[in-house]
Amino acid sequence: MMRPTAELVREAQSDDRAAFAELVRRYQRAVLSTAWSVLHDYHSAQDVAQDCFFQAYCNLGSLRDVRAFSSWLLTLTRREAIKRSRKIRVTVAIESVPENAISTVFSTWNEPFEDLVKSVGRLPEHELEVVVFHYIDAYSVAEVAELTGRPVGTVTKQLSRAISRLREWLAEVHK
Amino acid sequence: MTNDSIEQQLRQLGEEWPADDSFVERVISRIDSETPRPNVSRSAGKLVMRTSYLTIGGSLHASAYGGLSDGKALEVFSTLRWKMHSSRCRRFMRWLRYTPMTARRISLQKHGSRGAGDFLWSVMIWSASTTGPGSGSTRKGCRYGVANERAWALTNCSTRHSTSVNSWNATANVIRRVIAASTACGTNATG
Repeated sequence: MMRPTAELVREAQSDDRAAFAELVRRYQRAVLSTAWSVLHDYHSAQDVAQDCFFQAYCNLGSLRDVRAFSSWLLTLTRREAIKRSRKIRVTVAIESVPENAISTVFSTWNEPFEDLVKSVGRLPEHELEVVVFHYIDAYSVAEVAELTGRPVGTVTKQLSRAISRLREWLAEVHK
Repeated sequence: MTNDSIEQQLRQLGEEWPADDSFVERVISRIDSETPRPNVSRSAGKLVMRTSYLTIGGSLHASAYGGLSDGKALEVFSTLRWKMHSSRCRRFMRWLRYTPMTARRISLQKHGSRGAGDFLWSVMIWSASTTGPGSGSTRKGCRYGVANERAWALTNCSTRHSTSVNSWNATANVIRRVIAASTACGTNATG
């Protein structure tokens, strides 16, 4: 039986590591996509994702509305990724690393999906969450509704809007 | 590019996304290794807690319910790794020293429907404020009291100290661990 995110967050706030591990498992891809869309580098995005989950655990007590966990986490991720991207730029400028050095760290598996993942990472948090759950993690719409605590109709609308956005953005990229 | 093809690509991305179970393990092991956890050393009865506020709450509770004597509670305080300003620490120690144990227990029992929670919360908030319980002084025109302190906390402390009333669950858990750790220390930690 799937447990709603809000319930897991409440348990994680009581220092339940197993509940937090489940949250990490659940939001791993959403966080990674968000960081990736900012950093354009899979490995840096993984580092940021790990940092963000750690920070999220440390600051979970300050989260008042447990239902806002996903947007809180993804906002945190976006902010951290932006910070990291600035650091990378500074480091590159100081150390004079050749421009193509960073691009070589891209993994081979993600090349066909690079534009898609970056576009997914640009989605608003609530849409990103449902897209990752439904399409990437293969949950049904009813299951996504249960996980996120939103009505099925809302999830359907959010998915539809997200797909429209992605279509628009990808069309711009492919022009 | 049609809607269907985007959906198809997203599904394909999900299928081809490399399984990285080690990611969760890495995050959890980092939490285990880097998050300060309550610890009571047998020799000094030293508590190391996440924040000084939790420390105060935990130690207060331990002194009232966990079998710590006043002297031992003060010894525990003196060996804490304080993050807060030392004058606040001194004020709290003074309060602990001069408030009779019975009064402390009564306060813990009678405040709020959630038992000791409200009282401990107010003590934690008190520790962050510049006035202390029992001093009769005022803050923002309110005399000291649980309700007033909580109201003050909600408007001021929650943002200033990145904490909130909702963090009580986590706090309670830490306190339970502190008491368990204190008990585990046996006669060395209990006076």
